[in-house]
Amino acid sequence: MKFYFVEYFILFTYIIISFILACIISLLSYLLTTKKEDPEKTSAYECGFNPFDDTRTTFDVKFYLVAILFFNFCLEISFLFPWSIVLGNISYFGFVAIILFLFILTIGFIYEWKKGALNW
Amino acid sequence: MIKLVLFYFFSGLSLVSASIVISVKNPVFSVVFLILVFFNVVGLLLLLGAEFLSLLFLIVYVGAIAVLFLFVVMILNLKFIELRSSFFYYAFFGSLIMAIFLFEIFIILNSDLTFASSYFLERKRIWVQELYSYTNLQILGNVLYTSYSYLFILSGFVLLVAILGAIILTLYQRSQIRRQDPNVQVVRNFDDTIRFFKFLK
Repeated sequence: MKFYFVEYFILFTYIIISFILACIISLLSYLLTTKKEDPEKTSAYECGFNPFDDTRTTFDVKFYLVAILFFNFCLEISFLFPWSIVLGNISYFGFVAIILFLFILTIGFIYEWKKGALNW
Repeated sequence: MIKLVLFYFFSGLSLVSASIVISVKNPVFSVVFLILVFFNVVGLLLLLGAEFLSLLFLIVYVGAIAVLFLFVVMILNLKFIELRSSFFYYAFFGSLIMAIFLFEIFIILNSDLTFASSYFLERKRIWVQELYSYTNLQILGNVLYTSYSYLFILSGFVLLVAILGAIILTLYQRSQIRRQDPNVQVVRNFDDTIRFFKFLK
């Protein structure tokens, strides 16, 4: 066993225990409870009137735009993590590389700001 | 021994859930099983020893790409799809695309990917030594911003293209809604805003 598994062993036992516990809970709640079928129980639980149509309706594409714009800068930050660790080792070449990277993404950010993609 | 058991566990579960992805009828369920595939592949990467890369894949694929897939499913408004009708049609094109991807992977495997290596050619890297004396993050950072900086900046351009493409494809301005202007809201004075009226009797 290599050295990096040792640190993950606690996490692994945590996942196993939570999996077993979830199985036990769902199994006991399935076995021990009394089950009486009723049409009121299976109907949609809402105040007032019944829902008019399906809940799966299309929604605005702007949510997708916000998600993609978030996702780009999430990736940018995740590129910054190793850089912040090894900043002492990588001389000015690495520094200039990441400045160029940030500059390219800043152009995109300015574009989306000016275009009004961040406004609703 | 434990490593082998874990490998078979992760790979078997990922294969099973990948086959569930393409066989289940509800598209939302297939996205959920796709997330399960991502988790298992992350487990395989963790077994290989790529800690940072595996956790990054977890963040990117589960946190972002799976959400985007869910959005696509919601936007397209797919109901329960007919599975049998066009199975062979998709099987043909799917195998074609799979062959192309496999070909690309075999090309990548044999090449070194160093385009900017001439700058750092004098520093020969002993990978095994770096593997056991540095942490995973440091190894990645040492080569990512120096030897592979060309690819790194290229990935920045890919992200820029993603931003531009998403904005150009999906942006439209609605005309009817009332917008709020942040400058006006911040500059607004308290004394001007509150006004008193006298009721006429």
